[in-house]
Amino acid sequence: MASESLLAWKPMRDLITQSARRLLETHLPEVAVRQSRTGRLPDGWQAMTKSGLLLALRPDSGIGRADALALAEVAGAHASPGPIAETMLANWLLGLAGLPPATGPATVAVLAGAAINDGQLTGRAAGVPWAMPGVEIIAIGGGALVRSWAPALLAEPSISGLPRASVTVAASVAAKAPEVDIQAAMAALRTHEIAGALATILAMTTEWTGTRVQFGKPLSRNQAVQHGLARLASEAAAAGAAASLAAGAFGRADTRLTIAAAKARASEAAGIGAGIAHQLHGAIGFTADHRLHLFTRALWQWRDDAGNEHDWAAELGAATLAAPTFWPMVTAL
Amino acid sequence: MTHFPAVPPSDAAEALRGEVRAFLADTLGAMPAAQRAHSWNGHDPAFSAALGARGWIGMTWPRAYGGHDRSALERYVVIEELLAAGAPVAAHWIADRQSGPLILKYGTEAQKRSLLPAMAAGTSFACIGMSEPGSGSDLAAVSTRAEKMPGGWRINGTKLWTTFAHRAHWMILFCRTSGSSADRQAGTSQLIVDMTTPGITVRPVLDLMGDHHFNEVVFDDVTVGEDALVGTQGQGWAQVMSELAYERSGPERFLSTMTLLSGLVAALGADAPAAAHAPIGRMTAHLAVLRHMSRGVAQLLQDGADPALEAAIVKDLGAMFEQEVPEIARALVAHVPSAKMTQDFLETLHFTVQMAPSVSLRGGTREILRGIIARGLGIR
Repeated sequence: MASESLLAWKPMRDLITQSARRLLETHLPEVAVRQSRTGRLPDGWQAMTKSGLLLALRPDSGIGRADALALAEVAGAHASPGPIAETMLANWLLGLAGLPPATGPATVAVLAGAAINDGQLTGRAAGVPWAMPGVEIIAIGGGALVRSWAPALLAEPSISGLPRASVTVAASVAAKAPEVDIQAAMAALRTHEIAGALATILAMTTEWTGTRVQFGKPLSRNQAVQHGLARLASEAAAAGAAASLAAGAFGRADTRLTIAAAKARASEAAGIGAGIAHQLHGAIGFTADHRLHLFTRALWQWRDDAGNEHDWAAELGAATLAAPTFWPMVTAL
Repeated sequence: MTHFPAVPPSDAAEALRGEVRAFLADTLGAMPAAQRAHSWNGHDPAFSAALGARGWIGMTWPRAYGGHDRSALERYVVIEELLAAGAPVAAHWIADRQSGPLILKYGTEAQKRSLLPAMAAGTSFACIGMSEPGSGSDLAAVSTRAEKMPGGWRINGTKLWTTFAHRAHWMILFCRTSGSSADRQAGTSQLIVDMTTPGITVRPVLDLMGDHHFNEVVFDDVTVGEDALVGTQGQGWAQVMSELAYERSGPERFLSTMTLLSGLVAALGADAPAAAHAPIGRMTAHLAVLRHMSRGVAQLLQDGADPALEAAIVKDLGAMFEQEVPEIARALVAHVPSAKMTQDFLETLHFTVQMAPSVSLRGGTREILRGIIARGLGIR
C-alpha cells in the first residue's frame, strides 16, 4: 500500500510513534485502558511519564510540532489509557511560560470568572478531562498561569468513563499565561486522537468481518458489508487528513479557523465511524467484554471535547459568510 | 492504512495563484454563474488556447515536449483556481489531466514529439474511449477490437459516454487486441486515434437537461497505423488503471459544484441568520479537508507512488460533498435576501440539482469506488 513507500519520508515521526506504540503495548495494555474508564490512573502510567514522550510538544524538545502531535494519534489508536494528550498540552503551556514540565500526569483548565488578588488566582472551570487527585492542574485565567495540585473537584458525567470534573482553583500565580489559543490546541490534540481511534476500529472491523462466518461465508464477502467498510475507511482517512491539517496550524497565530475545519470534520467522522463499526460488529461489539467500546465511547467523548462539530462549524460558517469572497477564504485555511 | 502527506504552501505557488486569479478576473469577468456552473463541462477552445499561451496546460511536462517543467503543486494551484472560478476548461481538460501524462509515460518518442506540444498549447484536444454499450462500470468486458493487419490496425466497435468526442482531435481508445470479452483484462491495449479518420461516426447523446457532452462513437473498419499503439500491446488494462489515479483524485472531484456554493455564500452574506452558520461552516470544513487530501495525492503521484486507494477515497468523499451542496442551498434558500435572488442564482441552483447525480457516476461509480476501497483493505 502507498503508506509503505513513505516510510522513509518521516524518519523522526516513525521513531517517536514506534517508541510510543511499543510503550503503550508493553505498559498500558487493554487492562490499563479499562482501569482508565473507571476514573483511575492506570497501573503502568509511570512508564509513560518516565519515557519523556509527554515533553514532545515543549518548544525546547527539539521535536517538530507535527511529529509531536503524532503521539496523540498513537494514543488514540490505543484508546488513550491516561491523560496523554492532556499532559502534552500542559507541558506545551509550561514550556511557553518558561516553567519546568509537569513531573507526572497533568491537565489544563481554562478558568471562567478568574480573578487575581495578592498574587492569588481564583476561578472555576467545567468539564476538565482527567481532573482528579494526583493529576496536576495547569490553570489559565486573567492572563496568568497557576499550577495546582489540590483544587476543589466535582466529578462530572462522562460518556467514555474517562474522568472529568469541574475544578475550582485558588493558587499563587506562577507565570504570565502564554498568549495562545488553548481551546484550538486541545481541539487539534483531540483531532489526532480521533484519527488514531478511527484507524484502530477500522482495522478491528476489517478483521472481524473477515473472520466471522455467517450464511457459510465471511461477513466481508457481502457487498453491503464491504461498502460499510469502505465508508468507515473513508471517514478514517478524512480524520487522518484533518489531523494533518490541524498539525500544520497548531500553535500558530491566526490559524483558529483551520483547526475549526479540522475538528469539525474529525468530530463528524468520529460519529459516523463509530456507528459503522458497531453496525458491522453486530451484538458482540455492544458488550462490555468486547473492546470496541473502549474506542467508540472515547470517540463520542472526544468529538464533543474542545468544541463539537456543530460548534466549530457555526464559528467557521460565520467567518465564511463574513469573508469578502468564499474561495480565497478556503485556500487561506 | 492510507496516507495523505501534508503539502505546505510555497511562496512560488501562491504567487502563481495570484496570477491565475488576475487572469481569470480579466478573461471571465462578466460570465454568468449559471454558465460557470457547467464547470469542467464548459467547452471553449479560445479560452483553452489563451490558457495554453500562458503556459498553464501541460505544466509538469518537460519543455522538450511543449511542457513547462513546473511542479505538481503548481499545476494543482492552477487547476483548482480554474475550477473554483467555473472556467470553461473542457476542451483541453482530458489532454492535460490524463491523455498527455499517459503519452508521456508510455508513448514513443515520436508520439511525444508529435502530440504533446499542441496539447500543451491548448489547441489539440483529446477524448477517452473507455465505456461501451455493454461495458460501463465493467470496463474489462470491453469488446471494441483492433485487429493487427499489415502496417497497422483495423478497429471495429462502439464507444459510449465519450465526453466531447464531437470536439476532440484525438481519442485514446481502450480496446481488445487479442482474445475475447471472456478474457477480461488480458489482451487489451490503448491506441491513439485521429478523430478525422474515415469510418468514425460520432453521434450525440443528450443528458437529462438536453445538453450535449456525451457521445456514441462508432468505429466501422477504421484503419490506423502501427504507430497508433500507446505503450505495450496487451498491457492496456494496467495502463488504464494507472491513468485512473489521475482521473479520480483531482480537485474536479469536489469543486464542480463550487459555483453554487460560492454563490450561496455570497447571496447569504455576513448578515445571514445564525441558522445558516453551521451548514455553511460544515461545507467549508469538508472542503478544507478534501483539498488537503487531494493535494496529498498530487504529491504522491509526483513522487511516483501508486495512490489508487487514496484517489478512490477522495473521489467517493468528494462526490458526497458535491451532492450535499445543492441540498444545503435548498435548505438555506429561504434566507437569501430577495435582492440577491436573481434569475442567475436560481438557474445555477436548478442546474446543480440536476447535474448532481452525475458526480457519483462519471469517472467510476460510487459502487465501483467502494469496491476498490474494500479491496485496498485486503478483503476482496
